[in-house]
Amino acid sequence: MGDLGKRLARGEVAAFAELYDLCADRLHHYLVYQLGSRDDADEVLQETFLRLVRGREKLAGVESMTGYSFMIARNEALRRLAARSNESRRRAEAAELFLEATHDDHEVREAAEELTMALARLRPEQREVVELKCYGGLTLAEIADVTAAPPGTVATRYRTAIGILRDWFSRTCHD
Amino acid sequence: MTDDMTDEWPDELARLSPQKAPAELRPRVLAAVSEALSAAANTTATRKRRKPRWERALELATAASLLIGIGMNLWQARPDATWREQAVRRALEAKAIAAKQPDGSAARAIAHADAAKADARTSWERYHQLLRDLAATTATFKL
Repeated sequence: MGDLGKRLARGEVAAFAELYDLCADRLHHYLVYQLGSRDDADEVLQETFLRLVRGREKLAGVESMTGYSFMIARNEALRRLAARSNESRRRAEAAELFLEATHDDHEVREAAEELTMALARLRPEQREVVELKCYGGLTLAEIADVTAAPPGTVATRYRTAIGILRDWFSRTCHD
Repeated sequence: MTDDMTDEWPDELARLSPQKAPAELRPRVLAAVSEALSAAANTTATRKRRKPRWERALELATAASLLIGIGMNLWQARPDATWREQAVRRALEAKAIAAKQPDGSAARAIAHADAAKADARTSWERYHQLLRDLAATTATFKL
């Protein structure tokens, strides 16, 4: 990662392509969840990479390039959300988040929708930790850096979120 | 950090695959990245072509010194020129006043001073002539 950081800092296009392949899918999924729209996620993902280009001198010293990219993407997403603060926040649909939501099998599709509903029940800060942990592939320490929250708080949010989801799943299974 | 709980997540979450970024987004993003890097490289090259700061400072200092020198020269010359102008004016005024004197005493004084000057010049010339004559003669000084 150190080598990638140095190449990014030198402004090598190939290094940015490598970084894109490393984390663009995960970043995009996170941005869809944050912004509630795949089109907006496309734009913000592009803006994230442009921001990385503009601040590339700092990248040589970055420990976790994925974590740092998530932090930039999060800032861009929050800026976008702040700009449209008068509109109600749009919630991403299951089909925008999970491949299984468009599956031919009805049961698979239903499971994806249920999970999306379960995730929607979480508080935003809990949901964000779950997204970053489970689908972003970040460690709790990286999530603490990305969200600028104390590590203990992040761990608590994650534990609470997992408890809520387990509870939801157990109840829906019994139903 | 409780890393032992990092793998602790419900199977339901793991069972689902997140949607990926659209395939057409990759070339778009990388083209924008490439364009931004080229623009940044051009800006850097332009910056490098510009003279270094110390060189510009030196040029400015030289130009400023030159201007200050010219200014000081002009300043120095200005009172002198004024003084000369005033001296000529005073002399002319004195001569004009002397010329108006009915007894002509001042005029005589001026004429006398002028004559003295002329005489001084003549004496100097006479002195040189005397030296030349002495050199030409064979006579020696008698002790």
